[in-house]
Amino acid sequence: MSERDKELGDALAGLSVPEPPEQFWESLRVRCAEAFGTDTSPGEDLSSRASAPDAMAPEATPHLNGLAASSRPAPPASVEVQHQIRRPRVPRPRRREGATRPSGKPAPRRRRRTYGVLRRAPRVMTVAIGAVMVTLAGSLFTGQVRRAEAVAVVPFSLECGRDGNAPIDNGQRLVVAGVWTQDSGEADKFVKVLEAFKKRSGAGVIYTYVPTVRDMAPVLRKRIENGCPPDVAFLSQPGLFRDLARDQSLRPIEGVAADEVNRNYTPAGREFGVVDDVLYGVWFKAANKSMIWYRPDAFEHAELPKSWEALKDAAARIHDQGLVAPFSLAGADGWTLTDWFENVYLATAGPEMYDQLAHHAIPWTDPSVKQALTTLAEIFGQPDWLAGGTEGALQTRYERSVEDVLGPSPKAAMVYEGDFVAGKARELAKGSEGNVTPRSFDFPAIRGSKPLVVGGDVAVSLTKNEAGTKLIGFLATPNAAEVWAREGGFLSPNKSLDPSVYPDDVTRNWARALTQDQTWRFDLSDVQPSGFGATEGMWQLFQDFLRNPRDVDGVAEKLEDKARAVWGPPLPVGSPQKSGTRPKQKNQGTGK
Amino acid sequence: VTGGSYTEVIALRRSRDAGGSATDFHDLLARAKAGDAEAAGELLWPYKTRVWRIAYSIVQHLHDTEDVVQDTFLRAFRGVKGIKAPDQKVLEVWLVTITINCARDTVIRRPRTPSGIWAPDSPDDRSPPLADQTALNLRLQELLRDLPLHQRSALILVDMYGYTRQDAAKMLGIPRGTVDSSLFAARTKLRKGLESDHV
Repeated sequence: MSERDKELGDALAGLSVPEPPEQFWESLRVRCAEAFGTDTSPGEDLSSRASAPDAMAPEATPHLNGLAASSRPAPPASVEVQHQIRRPRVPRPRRREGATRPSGKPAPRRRRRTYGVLRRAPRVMTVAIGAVMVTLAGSLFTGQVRRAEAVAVVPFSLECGRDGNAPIDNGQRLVVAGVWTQDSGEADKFVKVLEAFKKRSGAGVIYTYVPTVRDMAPVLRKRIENGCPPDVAFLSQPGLFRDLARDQSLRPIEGVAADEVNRNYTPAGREFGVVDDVLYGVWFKAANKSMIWYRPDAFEHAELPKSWEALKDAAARIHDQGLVAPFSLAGADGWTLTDWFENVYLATAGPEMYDQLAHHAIPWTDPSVKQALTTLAEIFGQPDWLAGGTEGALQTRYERSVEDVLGPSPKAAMVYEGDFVAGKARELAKGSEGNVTPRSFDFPAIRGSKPLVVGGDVAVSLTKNEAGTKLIGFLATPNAAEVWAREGGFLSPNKSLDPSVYPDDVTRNWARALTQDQTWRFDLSDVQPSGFGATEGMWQLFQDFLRNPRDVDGVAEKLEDKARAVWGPPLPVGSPQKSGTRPKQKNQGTGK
Repeated sequence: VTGGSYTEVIALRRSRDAGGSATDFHDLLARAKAGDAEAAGELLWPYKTRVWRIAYSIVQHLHDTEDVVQDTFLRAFRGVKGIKAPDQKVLEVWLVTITINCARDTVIRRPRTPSGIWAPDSPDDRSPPLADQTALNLRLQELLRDLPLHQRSALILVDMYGYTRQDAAKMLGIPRGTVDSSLFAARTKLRKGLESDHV
């Protein structure tokens, strides 16, 4: 190994790897012990194992924690069987001149060309064409697209200049960073919005995407640190949004978008883009998180539940049928459990109490919280209603929960989550013919009150690029929202958008509720300071609650302890806050 | 793992990741083959950190890593009764091979995180803390992500975890020469990527 390789090895060996929580190992231990007890007899011959890969096939595995089941069997641990994973390519025998062909006739001798230039010509042309293609591909990759009308779509890079950020033509080219990828089809729809902007402004746009929401924070911070942030970014993390605004990494947009925002958004919708009374962002895309997705065949002869009681009745009916479990619950992803609670709490306690709880104006031991937990336990406390039982639910991740319902091997009839389930359902539909068309109904009303919990993406400006600020202004108009709304899979908080442009009644009704009603609320856990709202706080405690739904008092007390550690004691109950706003506290939203 | 030479770092990592004792190996294996779950656990659990790290290095996503590790151990526990492992090394190669297969499948069929939801804030996330993510760390991770899967896997096994090229070839199910060429290509790309940062 050369010195340079050693240096590289040192750097690679020093890469940090996050550790899993001990809870993960504990639960895996249990699973493994079960797996060990249910499989092959001792002393099994390896050859029989090798010929019976089904023993290791995903179908043979029990309901697992979002298991990305591999189609490959486990290789036997034998020194002789080392190449079972991928069969080595069998070299094709080269036919020599004069060798006997299968027909028995000798192959005709090739005519030897004597014109060297001509002989080399095809090779020269191949090289030339290849060079041109490589150059084109390279320019596309780095975003250096010179076609004025193109909107380039490239992966987001930490490196300056790789997405074409550095050279900008007289301020008329901009880089926009978002989380909508081409895999989901969302990038293509968003590009249409950017193309509409290009037609109006003449600015060339490069859309650069991060693969997952959680990647946005580190890569964006790095680009800011490197001095080359994208001109516009879509932020899905309120803590990141607030931190960047307070770090002065974001540019106020009062001058360019305030009029449009005031005209087209409700006060609550406007608040999404405000930090410390300054407008920094435009809430462009909303996510409805009050939906239950279902298999149509499970409700073939039954009405869709409109109330909590009807939902429980439906669950009991599906359970009695014995074909699939009523629900698939993604308990391994704590955020899905907090989303359940938020819907139940908003419906049972009402918007004002929801606001107070969101701002810790009331403690988590409040009777309203215990009431909501007790209501939630009516479903969480029925292991027979959950695919895989309680333990199975705790091992199930979001993606698997959707697959359990909408995939080719259904294990459950219903799954709760937001409108983004449609994206996962589309992915599933690509994979198999056995998948069903996804359908959903609204989260049912509880004692006559129907909840609407939302999330969303906020567009912010990070540079002085004039085209970027123009884009922010455009995104606040109904014209921008209309482009994507017509395509489907999009919910706009823009109240000036004509609801008739939505392709279906369901989305139209959500949009109406979002822009006209005052009862919707923003995802409660997401507006918490991060020390409480996520893994170590609400997520984990709601997993504890799923494990033991009868312990309402215990969980409420633990929630209060955690909340108190971050927020301090509850504020005296005063005037309720508007939705989407936070009281200005010292530790608000910083998570530090 | 910080500081120290490459060899020291690898030695430290190996000793820390896999704590199994060779003397007990045959006894444990015999008991595991006879259906003793505890013995199977003692045989396989010492590799849990190693399996986790290799899986994470390849898939570079926490939840995917959990899936890969879970899948790996479930398969290993199911398969351990039928293995013929003359020594601990063979067992390790077998386990890492399963890890690589599961990780490879996960990368190929990687699910997308839904957009439009408000994800947890980064500092509280279970990603490495931002303070630890030095520029080099981030850059290396990015460069690793950009590598084709086979090059990435070869680099991780040989350069990060100190396996021999022969072992890496077994684990990846490819000829030794292909490991060599993959390593060469991966190292070249990484070096170029890092050098271009300094230009």
